[in-house]
Amino acid sequence: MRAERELQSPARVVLAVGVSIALAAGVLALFSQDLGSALAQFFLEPFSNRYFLGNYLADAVPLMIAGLGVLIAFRSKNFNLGGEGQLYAGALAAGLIALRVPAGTAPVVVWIWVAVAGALTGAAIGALSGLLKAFWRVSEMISSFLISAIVINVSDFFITGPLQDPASNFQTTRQIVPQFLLPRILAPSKLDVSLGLAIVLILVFMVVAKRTRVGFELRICGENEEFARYCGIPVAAYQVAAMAVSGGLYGLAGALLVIGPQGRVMRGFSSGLGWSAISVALLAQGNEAGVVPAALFIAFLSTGSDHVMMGSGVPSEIISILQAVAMCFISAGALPRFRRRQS
Amino acid sequence: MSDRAMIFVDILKYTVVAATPLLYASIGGLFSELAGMLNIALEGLMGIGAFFGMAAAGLSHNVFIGAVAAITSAVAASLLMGAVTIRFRANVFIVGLAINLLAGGVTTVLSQRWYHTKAVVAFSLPAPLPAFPAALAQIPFVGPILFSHSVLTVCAWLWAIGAAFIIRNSRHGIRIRATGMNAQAVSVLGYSPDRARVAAMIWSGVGSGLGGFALGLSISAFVPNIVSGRGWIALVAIYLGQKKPLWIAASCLLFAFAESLSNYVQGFSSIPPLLVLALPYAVTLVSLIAAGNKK
Amino acid sequence: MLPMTAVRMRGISKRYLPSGVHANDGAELVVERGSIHALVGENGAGKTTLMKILAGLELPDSGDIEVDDKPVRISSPARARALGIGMVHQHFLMFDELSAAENIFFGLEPERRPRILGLLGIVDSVKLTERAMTLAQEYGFAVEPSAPVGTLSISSRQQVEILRQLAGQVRILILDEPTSVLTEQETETLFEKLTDLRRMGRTILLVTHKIDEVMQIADRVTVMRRGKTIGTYDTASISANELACLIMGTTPHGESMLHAAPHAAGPSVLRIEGLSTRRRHQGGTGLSGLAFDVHGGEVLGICALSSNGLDELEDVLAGFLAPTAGTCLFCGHQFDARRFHEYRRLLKEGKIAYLPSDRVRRAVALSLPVMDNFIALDRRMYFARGWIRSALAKRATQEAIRGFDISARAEQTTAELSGGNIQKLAVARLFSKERPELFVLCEPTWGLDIRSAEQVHDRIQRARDAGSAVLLLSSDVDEILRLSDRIMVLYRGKQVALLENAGQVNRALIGEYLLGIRSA
Repeated sequence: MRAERELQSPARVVLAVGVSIALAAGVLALFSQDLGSALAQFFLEPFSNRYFLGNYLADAVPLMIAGLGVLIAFRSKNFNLGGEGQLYAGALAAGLIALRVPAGTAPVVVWIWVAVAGALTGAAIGALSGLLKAFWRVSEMISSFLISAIVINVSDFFITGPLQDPASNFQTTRQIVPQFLLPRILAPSKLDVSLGLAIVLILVFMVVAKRTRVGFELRICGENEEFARYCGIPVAAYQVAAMAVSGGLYGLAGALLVIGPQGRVMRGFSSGLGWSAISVALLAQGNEAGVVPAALFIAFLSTGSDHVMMGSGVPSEIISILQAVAMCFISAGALPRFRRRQS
Repeated sequence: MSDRAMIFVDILKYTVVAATPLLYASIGGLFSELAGMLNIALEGLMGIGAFFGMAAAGLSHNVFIGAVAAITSAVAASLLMGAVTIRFRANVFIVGLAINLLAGGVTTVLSQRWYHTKAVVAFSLPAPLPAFPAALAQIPFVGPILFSHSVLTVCAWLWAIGAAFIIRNSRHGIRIRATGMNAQAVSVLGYSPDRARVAAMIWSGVGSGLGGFALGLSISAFVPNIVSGRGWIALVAIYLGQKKPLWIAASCLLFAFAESLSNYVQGFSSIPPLLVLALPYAVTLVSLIAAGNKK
Repeated sequence: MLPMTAVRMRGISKRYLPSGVHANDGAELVVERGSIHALVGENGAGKTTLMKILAGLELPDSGDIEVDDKPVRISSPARARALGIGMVHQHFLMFDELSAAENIFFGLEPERRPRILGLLGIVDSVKLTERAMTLAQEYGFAVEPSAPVGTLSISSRQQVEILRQLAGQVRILILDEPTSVLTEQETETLFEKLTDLRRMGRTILLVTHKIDEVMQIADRVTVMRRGKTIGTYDTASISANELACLIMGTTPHGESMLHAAPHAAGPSVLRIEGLSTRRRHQGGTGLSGLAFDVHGGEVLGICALSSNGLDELEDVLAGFLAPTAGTCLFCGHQFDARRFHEYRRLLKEGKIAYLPSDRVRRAVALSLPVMDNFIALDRRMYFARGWIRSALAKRATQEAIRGFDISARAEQTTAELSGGNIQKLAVARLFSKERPELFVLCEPTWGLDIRSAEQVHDRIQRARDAGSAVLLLSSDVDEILRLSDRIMVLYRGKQVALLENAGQVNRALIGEYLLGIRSA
């Protein structure tokens, strides 16, 4: 037997958060000339004024929505690795509607259409992986990743081909007319009312999980499949549904970005968001309410990284390293005791 | 030779080139798969191998030193993965994802530090060593397809053959396979399944490191996201090849053919290139579904 | 010259935590060199634990072991091997895709010299196959060395396991219920081999609960009951019936158990004919041609020792394992094996209420609170239009906790409960439902203390008296005798008895059916 110490869920979160912050500070110490100001930029600047704070919160919103999606997939013991593609497809569907809709349409109608279209597109892609797993025993991890890679290429084609803005030097669609964009809060920052929607969604999912039969049955499927079968719960249906919901939330996150901070669909705008959402769900430890602080934390790391890059020459990709470390610690089941070797 | 035949030869020649990184990585990944750990970090390990391999090769102006650096760096990362999953009992998929993220981060941060760019870093390297005498490459059709390749490409096939032999015929290979089949039995019979798992992770590191390096060499440059999904395709090749080296090699050729075809079609047809880029993934996905057993 | 005594185990005790059950309680065992020594007892008597201790798979809490008259501490399977002790487990430790030869010589493969780079040993496969052939011939086993063991029959796989032990120079060979997975013909072959091995001077320890086999092959037999060794006997000087009584703890003309008052049985609820299945897993036994019926207001007890088909019958009745053949008549509605989903629907609609024997894997989700597990089966009642009725759910859970004396709180995580309390929770859940037509109860009191078991028995009787039909699947003979109106016994997947539980039926008689020394 190997000597080791069991790790409980709170300990893991504390460890993951602590180590990734410490590592961030360590990297800054290594790379920046002026440690003091780099640290200040990393840790304080996001909160220093209304503009930075608004942008920071705006970064957290898609993480909350998509992280919630990953959480639902986790709950049914599914790994959705196709988030990037689902998000991108949702964004494209949103862009198509927002760009084609007649100018006179009421903005609220446009917003609803855009959100529904984005969510449905993502859901269809997610459900495909769920079906492949339920009926062909294809690993949902690999299929969702591959489908996502295809979707990204196809979407790129639309963005740079039929939808390309002829006036722009970037690979992007035209701008969406301002009246169809979501109302901003904390102007001049990018933050808009989708923050409210994210919070409402999290509350709704909390209620569904805690108070309804559907949430109850999904939880049983994830915790013990054999028990679920004993209870007469259609396990396969729940697995497909969970993948669909997961993809749908990714798609919604993408759609809201398009009619929010982005204002258009740009090639490659989603890069990394799909993966960050997985870190958020892991940090939330299977708890809907945990998604909010987890998304705020991951957004804080990435905003901090951005600020440091502007200030001291450390590239913002450092966020990936910090997330990777946090993921390892959050997943660790035990800490080996190094002092006593194997008996 | 007619134009059409030339094109055909070109596509097949590039198929062999494109299969090289896939072959290295999927055979490496086969070891961890056989030991019972699905290694979804092949993608990241390839990126690490590509970056450190190219950096070392560029610095020393020596491809061999580059290969050694590629192997060393990827093995270090895969050992890290093995340590976290085995010693800390972490979930192998989540740690695999973390390694993929880590690879993207580390290579970009270091690229920025060392080369002051996050985009293409081009290296001027000695010309690749041809594996066959030039005369052989002159044979019509067969010559360019089979005998125009570098040592690194030929080594990929030797690697696959060698791995097949080790898996089948060595004590080490038997131990690794046994661990994947019945780890409990291995430990009851008095051997350590963990040791076999760590060894398998090392093999994974060697293969994906070399695979990444081959990818870098083929364009004489490093770009972030140079691997762009090939690690995942290599993973599917393991499934599609039903964990048999020969069939894995065949699957790699299939995916490489799709890649080669899409490269060609991009240049010479009216089909939009971005749609064509999706082709290798589509072929991979369809073959994965075809191989999956219906309930 | 080696001493006459191969193994001496003294005062061996082993308690499994957290349940605190004594698997071994001061067990004693003396085995003579070059003999076949049987170890017999009911399920849970502690035979396997004692043998695992000897094979280094478990450490005893107390007690001494001597091998060849020298005191030893057997801390690992490797240590046991070094002492010449090897065990063939009930569930084989096989590598399915490796060849028989590779399995036999796992870790001892002959290598070619020199090693590649001094590191990588290449197996000399020619020599490996040769050695396997030689070994098989030496002991008269017919095993094809290069075939992957996954393709071999169960009996060939068992021979591979035995050869593996012999290749490791094992002098004391332990076999844990080796015949439970074999046909009669295969059993005969195995016994010939074991007799040969004895002639060659090997010592064989045979764990079994089949008395006919003991009488046929063993020189001596040790009887275990509730973790204790009752005694060791020469098979020449004891009869099969006497042995059966020792195992069951009764006297030959023992009293019949007090069975609750007879009753008037109602109409037939379930009638099954020609029920056959494949085996559930490699250590299991397929069912062949079972036929029985159970009426309203009647308990049909079905009894078997492990690996005789009870698990498979449970899985069919639970809707988890589709039978290969058979017809079912449920309350006048008839269907056959191809329309097994109709049976599943009966379960889902609550017409059949089923209590699983594997409480941890099937009966609960350990990570969820007690209340969630309690309401999981009857979701139609505890969710109104999709919304949870939490007050009702909580009240019902608390009532059940009080009514069945479960030490738990409704919001507590189920994993924190003891095995007995989890079982009581599962039972309470089942009996809180509306009255179903049929109860399928599997090992309902396994691991419960006497008082809780009484309580459960009382519930079963009340359900019967209220007119439900009850199928009671249990390996506990006392429970079967106490509750059943009729008793069916399974042996090797076939029904060997279907009796009215009346005057002449007693523990000894059921024991004879269970142990295979009497058949219908």
